[in-house]
Amino acid sequence: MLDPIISFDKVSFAYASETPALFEDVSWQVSAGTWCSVLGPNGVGKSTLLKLISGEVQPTSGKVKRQFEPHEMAYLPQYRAFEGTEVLVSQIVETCQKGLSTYSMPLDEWAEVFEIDDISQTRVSHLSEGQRQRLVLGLYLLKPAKILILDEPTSGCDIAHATAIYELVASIREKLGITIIHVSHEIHQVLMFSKEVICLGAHARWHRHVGDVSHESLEDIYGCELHKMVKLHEDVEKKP
Amino acid sequence: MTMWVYPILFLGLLLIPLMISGFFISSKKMGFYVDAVSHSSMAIFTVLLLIFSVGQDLGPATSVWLAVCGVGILGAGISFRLFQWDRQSQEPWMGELFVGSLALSAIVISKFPLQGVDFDALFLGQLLLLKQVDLHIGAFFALIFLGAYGVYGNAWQLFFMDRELYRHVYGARRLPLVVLFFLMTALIGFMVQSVGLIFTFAVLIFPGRLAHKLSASTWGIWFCMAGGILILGIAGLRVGYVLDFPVGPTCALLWLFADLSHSLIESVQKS
Repeated sequence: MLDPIISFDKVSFAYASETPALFEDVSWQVSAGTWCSVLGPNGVGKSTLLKLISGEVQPTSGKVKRQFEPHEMAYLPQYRAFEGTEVLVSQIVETCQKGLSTYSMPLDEWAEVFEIDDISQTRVSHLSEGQRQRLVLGLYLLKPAKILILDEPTSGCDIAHATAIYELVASIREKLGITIIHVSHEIHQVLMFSKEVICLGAHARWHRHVGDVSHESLEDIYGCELHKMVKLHEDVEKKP
Repeated sequence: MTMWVYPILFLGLLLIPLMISGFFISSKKMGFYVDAVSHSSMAIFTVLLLIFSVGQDLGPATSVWLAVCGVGILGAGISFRLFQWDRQSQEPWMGELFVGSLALSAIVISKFPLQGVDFDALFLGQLLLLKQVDLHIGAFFALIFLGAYGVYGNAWQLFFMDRELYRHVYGARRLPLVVLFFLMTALIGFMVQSVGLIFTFAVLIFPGRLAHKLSASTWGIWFCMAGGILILGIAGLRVGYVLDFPVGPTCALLWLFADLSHSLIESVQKS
């Protein structure tokens, strides 16, 4: 295993002392440069896990060790960016660029990777969901980062746009060598693109290499049959 | 305190919520929000300056007439800007026309020998030559807020556009700079007394956006800002004195000049 960028050492967490703990004695490590996805049904603590990683919330016991500084983290939470804003994409881009002194890559290259030139004279309210997410991702990655944390970045996107976003994240990971931690409900795509998977369920929670994920283990997490719906990593590998 | 202190203080108090709401609306809705908000706040300031200045010595009917004119110009301009959704690249030039027409209207109104009142004397007398410290306290509160916009408008715009993204881009590191800038603006206002009014306005007409074009580093921007403020401040006073313009419209004209040069720079860069 590569050097961990995040280490959970017997971490427990509950939002209040009277509420049940979302995490109890969890010890996981996420390798630097990997793509680690977090799966699980609603309400099991996926977003809370991201908050623990980012330091937005602190564990009630145990320790989260981070091999990066807060400014080296790009954390894109689950929200709809630019809600109610009518400004042009170029203005948002310019505003963000002015706020930073260093960039993750040359600006021309950045604009090309995130296809900014095509939409620069469009108002953000007129962007499709896919374009919007691509833009948001680009803006969060304008600043140099060691780790990119994404909370359901493709919610609201159709399958084509969602896949395009996944491909974009994969290419960025390769290009910049950053670690991706990503919460999603799209099991199929997660298993296609991720290297590591953290699964959170009501009765089980585990962290595995994507190749070690089985239908049974996922069904145990989600409590429903997934054989026909989910293609596992090994199935993809078997395909000619 | 002299009678002129109260309108200025009131003006200051009024400007802050106006500026905040104008800023919010512009950031959310305007295409070229920087121009939009600067023009809107300038317009509001000029109109209020006119209203309060003439209101002291003229009858209520004249004051109302002037107020209606001012608000009419302002309303027409803002409506024009709000509903021209597809203007995009033409918009800054429309903005210049708006401010230009406003400034000219203000000059025409102030030059008009209404009921024998010398408007130039009023403006220059009260705002440029008067040495009461109280006057500057009122202007100080109003303009310190507006001055901060000149430098930190960019961060504030992002704050209103998307707070999560603002947090990501700016974090908390801008706060000390904001405080420092507030102190600097206050110092200028107090040191140069009446002239500080123009200087502080120059902060607005030479915004961080333009300074950023000239320098990429934070300190470089500050130097450009300081130089720009000084030159435009002196130029503003000189122009106002030589051409016998009242202070308010002179500021509007200076703003127009700065915006035009900014638009020209952008046009050249894009081409």
